[in-house]
Amino acid sequence: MANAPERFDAVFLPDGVSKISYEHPMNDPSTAVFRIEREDHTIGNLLRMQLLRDKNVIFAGYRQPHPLQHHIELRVKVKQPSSLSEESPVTALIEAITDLDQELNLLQDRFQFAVGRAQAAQSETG
Amino acid sequence: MEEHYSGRAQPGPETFESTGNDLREYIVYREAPGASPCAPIKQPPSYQFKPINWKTRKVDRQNLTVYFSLSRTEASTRLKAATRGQAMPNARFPTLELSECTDESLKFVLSRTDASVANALRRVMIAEVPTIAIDLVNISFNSSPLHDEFIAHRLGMIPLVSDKAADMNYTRDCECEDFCDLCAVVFQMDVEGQVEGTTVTSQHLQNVWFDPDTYPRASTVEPVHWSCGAEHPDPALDASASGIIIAKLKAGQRIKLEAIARKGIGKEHAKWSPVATVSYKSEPVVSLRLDELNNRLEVAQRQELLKWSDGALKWDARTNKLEYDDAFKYGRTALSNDFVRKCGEMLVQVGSHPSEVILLNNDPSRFEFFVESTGAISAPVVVVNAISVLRNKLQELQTSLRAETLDRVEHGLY
Repeated sequence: MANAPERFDAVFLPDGVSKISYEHPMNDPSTAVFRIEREDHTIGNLLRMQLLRDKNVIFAGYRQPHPLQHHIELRVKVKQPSSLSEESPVTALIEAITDLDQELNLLQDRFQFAVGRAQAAQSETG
Repeated sequence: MEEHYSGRAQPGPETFESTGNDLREYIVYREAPGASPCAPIKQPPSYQFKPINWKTRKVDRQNLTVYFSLSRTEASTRLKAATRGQAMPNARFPTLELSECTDESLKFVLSRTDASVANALRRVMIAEVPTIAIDLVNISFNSSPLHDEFIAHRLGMIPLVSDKAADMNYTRDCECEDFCDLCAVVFQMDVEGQVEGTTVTSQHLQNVWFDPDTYPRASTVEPVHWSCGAEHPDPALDASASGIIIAKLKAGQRIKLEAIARKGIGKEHAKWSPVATVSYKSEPVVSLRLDELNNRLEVAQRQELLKWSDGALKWDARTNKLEYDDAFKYGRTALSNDFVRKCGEMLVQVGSHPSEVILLNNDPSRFEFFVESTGAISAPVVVVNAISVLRNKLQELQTSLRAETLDRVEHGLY
């Protein structure tokens, strides 16, 4: 077991490593490849599908390069090349995250409401 | 106020009287008519919230949906977003129906969302909701038939009540030297076999930090002995009622150990997973090609089939053909399994393949979830925690993405 990877490697973000970093391949500001550390298909697919709903995004895809490398690469291309204006891949990702967060917020509220009502109904019927 | 979403003619404005009740008087532009709940909205509605004075203003009813026609939470989400100046053209507003809710299991239908959200939720429930499980075992005496590693593994599999797991630290993040009551729980066990034989169970594990005043968090952690938390079953009737079996000892055999439980997540080791199962399926929608059905079956068969349709079909006496009932068209009833089976048999009898007439489509925006807890955390709390975990992940990602971008701007990379 000497060469087995540590169990927490997939979970624990080491010091000095940033959670997310990105680069523009071929110096193309309309494309960015985000490297997200210590995440997997859970977040990768979630972000990809949300980005594809954005009409400015013309490509969004992700991959986990290797099962023993605990990061994913998310590639995003947007319509118009610009640096930090509305259409940059960074703002597209920020917006996608905001939308997902709002969706989950709503889901949380609705779930707690439904559970509260179900439990109240149960205690009434005994 | 002059935005329209479809090419259809706009009817003239009409006066909208105030109903007099004190519902929030905000308006929101309606989503594009006819858009399916999951499809991206082609022309993004701008969610501009403007207070309306109903008494003095004429409102174009076709173009607006009044605030209170949305649910309260949905509207407040949009309102909060709008006040922050965010348009949310791509957000979804999922709905939820709970059909079974106990501490142990949960059934609900999640609709108006995407498979990626359903799957993320499932994956997080399985692998990323923190619980507490035995992680380190110091065995000081073991003359049982099971070797040390075997016992340590069995101990790890015992679910521990983890209601306070969210308040505890991970040992690697904790400020303590080795471990402390903020990041761990210590159990001790010393069992000696009696002449008649002894079964070592989870009930022999004694929490060392049992005092709730000194250790408000660690004292709540104990093994989940029974599958039903509400009532202790009678050991005389049910062999498993004595707790979770760890080992069996003959006379004179002994196990003495100290077990340290820690917080962790299922991604690190499956023993930290709070759920036995989480599954979802998208709902199949059964429909028929009625013209084909009417052509292939005899009148008597069609009449027989009508009896099985539970009101989803009706009989057209003029043409002697089957038609959809309005109830089916409006989604108030569906074709049952029995109907599909009967219909399939009849089609086989006349030499057709059922798939030529019976169409099965999965509705990709509706997911039936089933969650079963191990007992470590109750099933409803697992779902709530899973959503929180997912939201924290997204927020952390957004924060560090913003920081990364600012960093680049400062270093002149833009």
